Amino acid sequence: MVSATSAAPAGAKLVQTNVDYDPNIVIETQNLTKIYSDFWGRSKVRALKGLDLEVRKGEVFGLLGPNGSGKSTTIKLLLGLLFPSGGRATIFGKPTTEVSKNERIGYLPEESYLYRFLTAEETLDFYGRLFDMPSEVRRERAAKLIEKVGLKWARRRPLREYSKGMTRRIGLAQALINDPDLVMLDEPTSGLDPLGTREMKDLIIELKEQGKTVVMCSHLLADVQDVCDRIAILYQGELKELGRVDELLEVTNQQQIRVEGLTKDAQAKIAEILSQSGGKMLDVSSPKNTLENLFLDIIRESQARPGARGIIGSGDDNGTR
Amino acid sequence: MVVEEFRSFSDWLLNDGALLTFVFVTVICAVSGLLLGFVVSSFRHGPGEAFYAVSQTVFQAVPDLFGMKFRRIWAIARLAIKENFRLFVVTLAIFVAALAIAGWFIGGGGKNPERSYVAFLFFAAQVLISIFAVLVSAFSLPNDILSKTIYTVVTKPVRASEIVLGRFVGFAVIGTVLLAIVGGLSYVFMVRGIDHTHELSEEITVDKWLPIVDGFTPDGRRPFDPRAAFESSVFTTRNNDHVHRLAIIQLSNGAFDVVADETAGHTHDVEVVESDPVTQHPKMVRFGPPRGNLRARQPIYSSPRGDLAALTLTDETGSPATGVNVGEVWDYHKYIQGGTQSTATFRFSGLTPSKFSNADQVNLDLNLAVFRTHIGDLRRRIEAEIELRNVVDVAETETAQVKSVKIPFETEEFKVQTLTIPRKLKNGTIRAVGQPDRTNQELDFFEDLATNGELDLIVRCIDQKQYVGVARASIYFHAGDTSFGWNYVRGFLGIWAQMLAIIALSIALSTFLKGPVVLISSVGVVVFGYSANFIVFVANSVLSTDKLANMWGGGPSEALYRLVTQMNLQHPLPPGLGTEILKFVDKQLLLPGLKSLSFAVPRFENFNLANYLAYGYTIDNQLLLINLLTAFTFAAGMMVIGYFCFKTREIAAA
Repeated sequence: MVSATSAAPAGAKLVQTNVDYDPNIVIETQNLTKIYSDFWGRSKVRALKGLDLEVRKGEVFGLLGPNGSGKSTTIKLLLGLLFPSGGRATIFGKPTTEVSKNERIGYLPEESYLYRFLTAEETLDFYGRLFDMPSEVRRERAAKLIEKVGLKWARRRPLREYSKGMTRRIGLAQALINDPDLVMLDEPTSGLDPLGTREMKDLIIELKEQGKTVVMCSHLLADVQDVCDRIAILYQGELKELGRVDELLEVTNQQQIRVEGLTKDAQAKIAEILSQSGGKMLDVSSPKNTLENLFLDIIRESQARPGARGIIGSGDDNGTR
Repeated sequence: MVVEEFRSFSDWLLNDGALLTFVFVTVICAVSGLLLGFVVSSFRHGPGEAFYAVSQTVFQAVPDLFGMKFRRIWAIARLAIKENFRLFVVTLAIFVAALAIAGWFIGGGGKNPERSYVAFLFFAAQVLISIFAVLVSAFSLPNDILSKTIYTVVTKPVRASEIVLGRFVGFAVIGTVLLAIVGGLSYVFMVRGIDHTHELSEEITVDKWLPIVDGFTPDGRRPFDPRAAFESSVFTTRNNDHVHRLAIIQLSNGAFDVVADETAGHTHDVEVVESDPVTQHPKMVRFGPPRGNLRARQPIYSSPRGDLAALTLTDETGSPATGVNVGEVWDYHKYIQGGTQSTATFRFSGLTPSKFSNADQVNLDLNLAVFRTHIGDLRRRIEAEIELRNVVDVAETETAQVKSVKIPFETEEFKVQTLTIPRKLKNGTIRAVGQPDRTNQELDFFEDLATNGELDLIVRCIDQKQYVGVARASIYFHAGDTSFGWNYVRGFLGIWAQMLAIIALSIALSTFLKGPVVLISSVGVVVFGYSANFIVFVANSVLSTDKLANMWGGGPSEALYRLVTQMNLQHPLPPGLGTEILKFVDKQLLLPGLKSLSFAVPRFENFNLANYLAYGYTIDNQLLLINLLTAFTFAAGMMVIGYFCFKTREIAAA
């Protein structure tokens, strides 16, 4: 095999087999390394440095990090789009270069790289054929997925006429055409409006409820926080943090008290008690809703009650937000 | 038509070294590929890992070959078809426009209009289909990689072999459909362009029928048909830039038959509409469509028999010879001297009654050359004769030598002349060992002469000090005609074979090169393939140790030097180190290298079968088989190379 990668770092061996396959571990990487090199084999960029990961069956796993941190490189290595410079990676116990692993994988790339001269129906039919699906199954799956992503009205239009959001949706449909056990999503909410973003997140949760494993990479923290069970944070190709989201986000040396209907006197008494216990009250304020929730509430309300709606501060506001 | 190669499929495969070349090239490619892979991988991962990686890639080819699924291949093929539908329409439109423009310039006139039509149509189709094939296959995969649409394909359970083969199938299908439409359109264009009829320019009164006396017309010409009793002084109307003359042939039952002369490569059936009530001479006639210019003759050429060559010559004393050199540079024809014992013997086999539809006569076509050392009788052509002999088995001493009577004829240059030999030949001679010759025997062509299908045909030139030139293809038995339409399809099969080879080549290159580079490289390889015969000729000539065989001008670098310095080809190069370097580069590097490379690409020139159609000959099955096998083998090789290149390519690193 001729790899376009440069020499692996010392000690990192190019190993492509897995002898101890645990069915509960969907993805496993050991010391996975990727170095981009030029035509002459000279190292240019060390994109991934000795990544050790395990993704378990049925979890939503997030790869987090700023641009250039190695998230997409990891996904591409796992899919066999890149060859590792060193280390080991397996999916369902098979080497990443093994074609048969793709039978159980659905992949949504960072941008929906689809054939723009095909219609939505033709697109799904084409990808269905690549999974060697019989025509009845292809037709049934395609119809169901087109409906699921809300493109039934545009199913016979060529993708070149689609907006970015629509292309993203059909891209998602193609990733799910084979009813995969593992769904890999590269920046899944990229290019989607807030409504589309929420639908995408709902879908990820739905996939998890169906027992599927989801691996997504994103630099949008809110998206990751909302849907992921575990995350790995990468920075400059190195793994900086790995764990459960709820545990990682917990600020263990701070406590937050939320009460309702508290008088100014009572607040002063609480502050005094805290002071006696050696603590210091940092702030007492009303909890804030997120912008995303506010936007969605407005959209939903507008859909239920078309026409002009009350604006905050106009006197119509009931103060529930 | 000039035919210099008479190869049967088995000869080509076994004796001419096609199989050996294939094995040699395959081994060289396989070893080079393994070595290259090992070196590159060693450089990047170390020798141990490299060995592992190379062997893994090789072994993975087995499941990738046998694990291919038709549905996936067809999915990719369909995609390739849809992707290029627009280019398909554009190419077709260009061809239709080319036909429309060509219609202004190619008329049905000229000596042989079908040759102009076939030459133009085949050239246009070949160029257009080749460009189409390169364009569709050169950019498809690189564009997919560039736009990253390939990501959504290779992350499905699709094998590299399916991606490469699927594309080949898709391009082949769309190219085949295009070629079929182009072929159909061009055939209709040609047939419509050639089709015409005539009328009489004026009524032929009795006095316009000129009697033939002693084989000549009153104005001293030979009639166009030797059987003619009268020839008309009235011509037909001028259509498609030609006119025809008419003649009357008086049949044995006293009736008249009217024939039109052969002009512009054809004649017409003539039907008498009105005759003179007294003399019965035709007054008004009606002409049918053209006949004879869209033909597909089935020739049976002479062939080697044991150690004997297909054609052997003797000199003026009757001794074996190579023929007289009459000073022509082109040594296609070998000349025999007239009025001497000089002969040309053609050896035929496979002459069975069934090949001639059990007819009462056998047609022998002659296409001889003539060299005159004196003008002679201007009204006569050079005379020659043929004699037919059975083949006597040397071991069978009881076999009698059977000879036909000598059949004289006048040679006609620059055209195919047909001699009709009746199946029952009179005045033959049978000479058996120990018995007196039996003369004036009636001989059956197949039973007495062409026994077991084998026959010797001896040609002599009768006129003293004149020469008749012969080549192996100069004389052949004409076993009827096949359908010209079917022959046209066979001609297009040659273009189809070339298209497949180009598609496979471009796909293989596109697995590791960018689109524009693939385009340039593919065109380069095709041009090289077209020039391969010439390259081998130059290499053999320059590298030959025989000084006389060395061509003027030397090899490529010497030629370049002469071109730049405007030095005459025959002027010797100035002695010195520079000349030595030039000769070293030519003789040790360039020519041996180019010659070796020429065996790895098809001789694209050989895919052009237009000449067979233009000159009215059936394209031989053996030739077609050679072309198709060459294309398929090359395509298969390219597919294998494409597979390994794509398999070992990091898609996302592009």
